[in-house]
This record gives sequence, structure tokens and C-alpha cells, in this order.
Amino acid sequence: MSSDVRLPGPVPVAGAGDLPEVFTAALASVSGEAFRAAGAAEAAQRLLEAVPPDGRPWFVAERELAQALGQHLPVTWTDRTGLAECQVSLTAAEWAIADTGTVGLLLDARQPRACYLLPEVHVAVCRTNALLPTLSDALLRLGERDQLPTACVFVTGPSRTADIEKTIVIPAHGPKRLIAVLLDEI
Amino acid sequence: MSRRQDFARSLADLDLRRKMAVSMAQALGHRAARVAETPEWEALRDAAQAIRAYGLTHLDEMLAQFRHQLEARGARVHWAADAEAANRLILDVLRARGVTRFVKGKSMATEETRLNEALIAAGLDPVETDLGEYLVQLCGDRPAHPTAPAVHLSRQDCGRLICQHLGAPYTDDPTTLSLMVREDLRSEFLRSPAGITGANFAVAETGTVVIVDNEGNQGLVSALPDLHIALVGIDKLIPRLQDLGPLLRLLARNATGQTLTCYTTLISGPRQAEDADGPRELHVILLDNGRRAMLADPTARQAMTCIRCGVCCNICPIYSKVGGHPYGFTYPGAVGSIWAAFLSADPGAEELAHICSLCGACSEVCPVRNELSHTLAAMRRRRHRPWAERLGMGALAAVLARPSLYRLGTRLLRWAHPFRRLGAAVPPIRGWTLGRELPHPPSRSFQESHRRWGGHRRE
Ligand code: SF4
Repeated sequence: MSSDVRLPGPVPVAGAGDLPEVFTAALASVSGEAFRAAGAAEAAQRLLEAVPPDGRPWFVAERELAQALGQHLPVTWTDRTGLAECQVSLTAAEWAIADTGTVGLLLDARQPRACYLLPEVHVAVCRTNALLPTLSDALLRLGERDQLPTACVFVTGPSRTADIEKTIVIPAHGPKRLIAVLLDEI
Repeated sequence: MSRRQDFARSLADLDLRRKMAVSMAQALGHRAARVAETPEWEALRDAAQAIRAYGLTHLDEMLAQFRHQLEARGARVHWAADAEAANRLILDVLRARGVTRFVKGKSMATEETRLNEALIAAGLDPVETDLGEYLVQLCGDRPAHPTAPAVHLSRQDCGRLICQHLGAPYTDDPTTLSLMVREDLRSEFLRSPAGITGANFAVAETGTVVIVDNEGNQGLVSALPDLHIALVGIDKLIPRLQDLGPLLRLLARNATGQTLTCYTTLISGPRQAEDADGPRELHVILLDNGRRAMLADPTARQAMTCIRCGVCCNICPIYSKVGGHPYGFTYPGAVGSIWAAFLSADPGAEELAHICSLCGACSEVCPVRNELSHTLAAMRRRRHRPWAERLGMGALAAVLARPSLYRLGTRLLRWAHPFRRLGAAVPPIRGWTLGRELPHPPSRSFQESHRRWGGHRRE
């Protein structure tokens, strides 16, 4: 791109702080939940406490992080055809963004476009070392890829609406709960 | 003039005034809290302004790159010179695939082209899925605010509309109502053959359509159906993916006081062979409809950098009293008044430049530092002014330029004040005095007091 007019570089964020802490607080402020676990077994245990299985199947994305957790869960798995009826969708986030409590998902063959929207609860698993200070950092990483996946999404909290007298109602069309799992090690 | 009457009617609607006062104050309060906790706020504004200014001089280059990237992934990109062309393109695509009923995400561009009216006239059946738009569609109205379309409806209004539509017993509880709509629309999403959205940004570098929303409906509209059509104003182009960073952070913080909107969806093509799902067909329609004319106008072009956060509406002393409807144009408020001069088919739209009080509050808050009131003032100056106004302003200029005349004038004003109501009888003056009260002049002017306190007069 020609650059006779200069485009700005990233705007640094003042005082990024301890990223997992900032992330958890930011997500809590938008009615999301987050916890950090040392390994997949521990994460699965805590997830079962947070979301007791109700008999409906869970969707587990075909990604390493999601599968690692899924293996420890006593639930039946469904593929994408069962998305509308399942209780939980377990996805893998590429990045988590501390500043806003956001998880960034790539949507492709192994993680369909609708998977984070249809089930009642969305659980996004992210490596703790994939925590970034701001959205700009994640976008820079995304832009470095040879080609973007045809869809990606940044999710900040469960779906909501405030269209009736500005009263916040959760959920709107998407999930009722968003749980982010920060995983130190698989 | 009917637009003037529309404003007068809204201004006299005390119920509307109450609703507007509550929601505008709330929106501004949320925003202020975000500004306070974002130390890099001004740096973000600088970045946003620079990114959008770049777009003003590189539009064609960005459009070409955007199109090239998207087409390389198998999307179809179309140009639409005006609203009619855009609606026809969309109708053709839908018809060719035998689509009748389909879902829509919130999009101001489709409001601008009056897409729903055109499609309904052609026998199609669009279903709005954003709760605000759903409500607006139910009452056969038009959105009253760029980011809060149903801001003019009370919870009782919403309760009546939704319960009647779904044949349910009346309730005005926002949670119950929202869940009823969620239930109703779920099945529409799952069976819809097509989805239509707008876009908040379009990234040239990567050929990406960016849509933000809170409800999750935009993601469903663009993921589940087999066909996705996005109507994108050519003002939405931005050069690089990373430019979304400052723009999105500012957009959410200004518009709703959120740190980021719930969902930011980035779409860079239709389903590829290796993808699990997504529409097989993606059509992106790039809409001009007067935007190039605005870009070619050195006075108004800056308004093209607007990111539609709506904060210039919320803070406007006029908009915040009357809401969006009396403006009679898709985009209300100060920036809408500029856009209307180029985009509206209504020749009276230029009159909107005269609605503004020129207080400049909007320029102070605009995330891309649009000088809205300066632009409006400049647009006024080049309009033909009525003889009475020219005469009055000429007389005022003559008086203000001559101190002796000015002093005489202030004295005259004091004597004439008791007869001020007579002005209402004189037609050209009447328009001015009808809604305004001439303040009582003080018994001594500033200059007289100054002299009395021993100040010196300089002439
Ligand atoms: S002109 Fe500025 S303040 Fe107004 S909507 Fe556009 S970006 Fe927001």
C-alpha cells in the first residue's frame, strides 16, 4: 500500500498489569466467567463443577486444546449437526485479550462458524501464554498469517441485548454463559 | 415546511422527551466512565483520525485491493451506484436462488436503500433479527438511532408489540420479552436459505467484512444460511487489519460504553473446500449512493470518516430532545445532516444544515475528530439565503461595526423590550421570535458599568 499519508502504529496501552488477572476481571465485568488451570485434567474437573452435565451431548471442536479437555469429561460428544441441541460447545481460542476479556477464535474445518453461537454455554479453552494485552496485538498476529481463515470471531462475554429501555438481558441470540479456561499446560 | 413541523411536533411530545432524556444521559454516562478509565484515549483518537483520513485519499486503491482479495477466495463483489441499483442486485441474487423468506442482521445501509420495502414490494419476506430492528419492523416504523433503533419505544410499547405478534399474554418485562423473541427467531435462523447483513468495516488488505454486534444474530445470519449478502457503503473501507484495533475500541466505548462489542465477526470469503460450514455463496455489494459526491466536496468530505458510533447524536442538544425521526433521514444528528445533503433524494434535506445550534459539542467527542459544526456552518454559508435573513444580517453587521450605532442600539433595545411581542406580528421576524424569548436587557450595559468603575474607553 502506498504511504504518502502515514498510517499510525499500534497505540500502546498504559499499564498492562498481570495479564491473567486483568483478563479474568475484564471478562467478569461483562458477565463472563474465567478460571486458570495447570493442566487439562484439572481444567475438566473445574469445568464439571461450573457446568454440571444435564444429559444433553456436548460439542467438542476438533482442536488439540478442546479435545484435551474433552477427554476428561463424562459426556457424550456430538458433531456439528447436533449443535442446536447440545448443552455446551467446547472450543479452542487462538488468543485471549486481557484488556477487554475477549477470546479470539478461528473458524474453519475443525471449528465450524456456528459452533460458538448455538449452544447454551460456550467454553473457550486458551493457552495461558496466548494471552495478549489488547485487540490490536491479536489483530497483528492474525495479519501475519499467510491467509486468513474465511471466518474468525472475537467474543467478549455472553450474548446480550439492551434494546428495551436499555435494560441488559442475557442471553440474546447466542449463548447464556461464556466460560474461558486458561490452560498453563495441556 | 413539513420538516420544521416534524421537529416542532417531536419537541412538544413530552413522553418522547422523557424517554430520550433517560437513555441519552445513560449512554453518555457509560461513555464517560470508559473515557475516564482509558488513559490512551486521545492517542486512540489520533490513530483513528489518521486511519480514516488515509481512506479519503486512497479510496480507489483500497476498493480494488478489497475486491481482489475477496474474489480470490471465491466471493462475488458488485458495485452499486445508487440505492435502486443495490436493491435490484440483491433482489436478482435472491430471486435466482428462489429465496422468499430470509433473515437479516441490523444494517443502516439497507435502511438507507430502503431494501425491505423494495423486497416486500417484490413479494419477498425479510425477517429482522436484531431485537431493536425486530421491534421497529413490528410497528412498521424506522430506526430512531444508529445504534439503538428502538430508543423511542417504552417497555410497554415493546410489550404490546411483541405479545400481540406472538399471540402471548401481555408482559412488559424486558427479560421475558427478549427470550420470547429469541425463541421465535431460532427456528428462522436454522431454516433460512439466505442472510443479509451490512458491515461496520471492510478491510482492504485482507478482503475482510467486519460486523460487530451484541446479540449474536449477525454471526448466525452470516454463518447458517447457504447464501450471505453483505451491503457495504464504500465509506467503510479501512487499509489494514490492525487498524481495526483503535477503531473497534473507540466504537464500542463511544456507542454503548462497552469495552468491546460482544461479537466481532471477520468474514473473508465463502465456505472453502476445507471449511466445515458457512455459506457457499458470498456476495458483497459496494454502495456509492452519493458517497463519491461527498468525497469530492472539500467542505464535506471529512464527514466520510464517520464510524457511526452515534455519540454526536447522544450529546447533541437538539437530537437528544427530539430523537432521529424528525430528521427524516437514515442517519440523524449532526453527521447525518451533512450526509443527507449528498445521499438524500429529498431536495429539502439541505435544510438540515440549519437545524444545528453550532454549539460544537459533537466535534469535541467525535472519535475521529470530525469538525461537524464547522462543516455545517460552511455548508450554510454557501446556500442561498432568504432576503429577510440577508437584510437582517447586513443591518446587524453595519451596527456592530460602528460603536456609536451599537451604543444607540443597546439603549433602543431597552426601551423597545416591553413591545417585543409586536415582533410576532411581522412575518419575517415571526419565524425567529415564535419559539424564542428576548431576554430582558440589563439596566446598564457592560460598557456603561465599565466606565462607571473607572475603566477607560478605547475607540
Ligand atoms: S461523526 Fe463522529 S461522533 Fe458522530 S457518529 Fe460519526 S464517528 Fe461518531
